[in-house]
Amino acid sequence: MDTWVYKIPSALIDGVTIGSVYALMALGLSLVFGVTRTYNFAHGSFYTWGAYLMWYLPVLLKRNLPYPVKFAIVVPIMFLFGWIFEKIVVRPNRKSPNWIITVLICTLAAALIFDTTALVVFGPLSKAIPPLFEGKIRLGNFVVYVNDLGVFAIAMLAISALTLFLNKTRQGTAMRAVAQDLTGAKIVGVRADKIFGYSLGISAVLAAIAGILAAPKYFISPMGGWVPYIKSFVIVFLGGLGSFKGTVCAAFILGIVEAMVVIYLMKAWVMPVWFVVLIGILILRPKGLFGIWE
Amino acid sequence: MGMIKIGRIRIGWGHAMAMLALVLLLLLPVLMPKNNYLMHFFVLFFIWAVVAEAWNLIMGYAGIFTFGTIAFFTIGAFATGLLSQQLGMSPWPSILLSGILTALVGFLIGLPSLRLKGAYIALITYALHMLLAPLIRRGKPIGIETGGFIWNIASLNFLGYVFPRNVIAPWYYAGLTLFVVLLLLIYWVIRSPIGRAFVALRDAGPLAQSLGVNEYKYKLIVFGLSAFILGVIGAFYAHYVATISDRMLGLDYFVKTLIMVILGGLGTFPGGVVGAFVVIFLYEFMRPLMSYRLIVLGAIVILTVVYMPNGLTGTAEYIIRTKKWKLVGDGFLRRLAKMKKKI
Repeated sequence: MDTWVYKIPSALIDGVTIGSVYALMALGLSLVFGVTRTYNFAHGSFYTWGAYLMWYLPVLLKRNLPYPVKFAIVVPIMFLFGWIFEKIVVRPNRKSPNWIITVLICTLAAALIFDTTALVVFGPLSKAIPPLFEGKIRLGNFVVYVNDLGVFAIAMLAISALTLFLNKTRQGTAMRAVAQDLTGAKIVGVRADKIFGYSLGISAVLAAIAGILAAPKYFISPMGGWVPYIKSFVIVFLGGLGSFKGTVCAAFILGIVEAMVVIYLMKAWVMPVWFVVLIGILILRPKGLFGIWE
Repeated sequence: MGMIKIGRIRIGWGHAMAMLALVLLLLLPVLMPKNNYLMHFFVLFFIWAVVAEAWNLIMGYAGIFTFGTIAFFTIGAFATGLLSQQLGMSPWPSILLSGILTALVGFLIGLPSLRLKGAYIALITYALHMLLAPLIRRGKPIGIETGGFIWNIASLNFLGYVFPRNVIAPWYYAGLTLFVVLLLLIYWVIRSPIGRAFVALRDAGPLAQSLGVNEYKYKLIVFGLSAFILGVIGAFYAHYVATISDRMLGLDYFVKTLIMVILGGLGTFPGGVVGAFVVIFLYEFMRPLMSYRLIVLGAIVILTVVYMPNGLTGTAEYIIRTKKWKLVGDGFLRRLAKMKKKI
């Protein structure tokens, strides 16, 4: 009876931690959808590849570097990865009259290529990276791992950086302009192609950070990006398409729901619960919590 | 296209080719009774051609962008596995019942999601696909073995004759029968008022709707029907391979089937069949490449979508009709663009 109550704080902490990872994933997806109007099925592969790069760096350099240095190396690589991905996979479809659907097919094929490459290069066994922060804090009966707090802090830092970029810089404003009205943005001289590339790059970076933050706890495997990817689009649905605030809120709500399910029911029920949430949103409120429909 | 005259009977080229292919397929086991490998290849071709053509029906004709095809195929396979093993049903009724059960699941998924447009349906049906694997892996209470396996699914029988596992010919004829029946069903749907309603909605949506064509109703019917077809062929697959696992939901199977539809030609009738033949053959041919062949397959998808959006069938049709050697025709994708629907 008592244990039921005692589990609530740990469920909240777990939920907020995983929720911040999902928020990063979902924001990237939402950004790409808003700006380029395409669903990127290779988003989960960005997540996996970011984590793999982080794992591979010490192996490649034969020495362990502190995390900030590794982040400084992985982030530009992932940005370039997303940018080139846009150039090779998304761009050639743009002249096709039905490009939204052809892009969907192409990104799915690209996801297969990335995942198979990861399988061939890194092998089928899942990898683990050490926690980003060591140590734990004791508060009476509860144990709080510093890593969980660190994950939340880094995610918040990344989200604030993205907000600043979108609101304060020239490129960010251009990005929002393209998201609002592509033709209008082109008329006033925004180079939309460049903006598409940037948005894919940023989404790749966000997904990679999410992958790295989740890796110490959830491990890295070649197909491991698919589940967070599916979850992140449920989040985008719940938050409302194109709503920044809604996406972040929805990520934390669903993260906490997931942690509750894991603690009180069973891990097997996580995906069914997410699916029920998705169907529920579609029936009850298809525009999401904060969204504007179409 | 032209006609062939044999005495007083006139047959279209397409029908003549189909009949010739059917006669050749009927004669194959008689001509090469010992070649089990080739027959196995063709049984797989029958199965995947139906899957690809069912996907083509929903995606190319009905314009429902679904990614749940393999999910329904898997539901059919596991349904028959459980029905014949846990309840002891005999194989053929079990295959039919699996088809009906899969159609029910299709209706349940279609009811909330078919009102949405374009990419959303893809995401929801893909979520169903992702949901199935963890469910199957933990299906011990209903009789699925640990790790998501069902072993030793009963062999098919015909009038008391149980098909042996080591002789492929009976399986070949059973597969060929299902292949012909299900393809005729799909062809009938395309040529029926339902198919015409879709053509009307695709080419002149608002006009068709103003004349009282209920898009949602027709979409639901076709979605359920394709789920039924996929369930039946999935069930046949389960009886044929005897051991099924959640490996069926892997991304490689998924993209392999997708490339059959894309390469064959979206929205062209024999497209899925042509695509299935080419892809299955290519996949066998590329065996020395091992796991790299998935990378090659992914690259083929991207190249086809970008440079040959009408697929093999659409391009061949275009070349025959206009006598111009060009890869891009005015097929499905151009027509879809005319829909001017916001996705």
